[in-house]
Amino acid sequence: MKKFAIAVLATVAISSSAFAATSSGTLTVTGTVESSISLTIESAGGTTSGTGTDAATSALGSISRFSAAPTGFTLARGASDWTLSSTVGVKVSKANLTSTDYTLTAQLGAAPASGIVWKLNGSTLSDSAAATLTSTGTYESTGSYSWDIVVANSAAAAAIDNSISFTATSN
Amino acid sequence: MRTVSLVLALALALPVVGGKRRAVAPPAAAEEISIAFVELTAGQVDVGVIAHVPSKKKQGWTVVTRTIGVRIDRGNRVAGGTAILRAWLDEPDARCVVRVDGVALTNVPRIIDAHARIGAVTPHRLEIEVPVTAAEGPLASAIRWEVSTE
Repeated sequence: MKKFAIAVLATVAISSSAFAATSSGTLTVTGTVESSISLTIESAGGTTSGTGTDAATSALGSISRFSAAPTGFTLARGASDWTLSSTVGVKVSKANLTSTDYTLTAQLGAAPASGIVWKLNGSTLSDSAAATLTSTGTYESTGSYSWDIVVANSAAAAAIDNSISFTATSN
Repeated sequence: MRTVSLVLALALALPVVGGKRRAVAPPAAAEEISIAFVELTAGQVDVGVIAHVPSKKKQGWTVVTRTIGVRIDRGNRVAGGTAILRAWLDEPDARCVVRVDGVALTNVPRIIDAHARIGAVTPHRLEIEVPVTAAEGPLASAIRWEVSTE
């Protein structure tokens, strides 16, 4: 009787494997890889926020010819003006792009107050035309650009708030 | 060997010895099973433009995610039971990594679900990962899905 039971189990197992079934299908995935570059402000003088992003802010607080320079700045007094100097660190990254370098420009968001001059990398900035900071920027490397704010002794005491727009273009 | 022969002979002889012959069921037809992708046109997923957005989640990669509904059915439409779901790349695109439910696919079949429910739609997470070093342009990859019962 025991042997009979073994024989039946063997038969069931063989039948079961005969019922196995298989089916298949194909799923096609398509898309388009698009090249891109991105820019981040990595550092700047003043009390900064938003570094590492594309929208950083630098607060200088109250500035004057005879007070201490803001954090991250130096102050140099001339005969008719005085200059706050610092640097701005800009990093440009690329993705899915064969370009080996880029051109970086900067432009003020608004006309500077009378008697105030903004400079980056030695170039005077304006709100009407972009100044070229470099035409051979290296990707993934933070470029450091000198940043000067020149204040005439004759400038009225007022806020000097402004914004600098950086634009990177792959070469 | 002798023992086996004796057992088989005994099994065959029993219906006759019992005096009353049992009804013999006709041999079962091979079970049919099917796999279908739900709400997809012609089995195709177009993820559109894949443009890199810097992220600290997975630096150096662009990841696009979609959810795919897979339905497994028996030919007789009877729900219940499970099947093994495998997937592999039939036509890989060297510029991207394709994952299904976190499993990176190659040209070798990988088990996606060892107990896929029959008669139900099961969502699966499809991820397309493109490194920033990949060249731009159209991308296409064919994923072969296979379902089987045992």
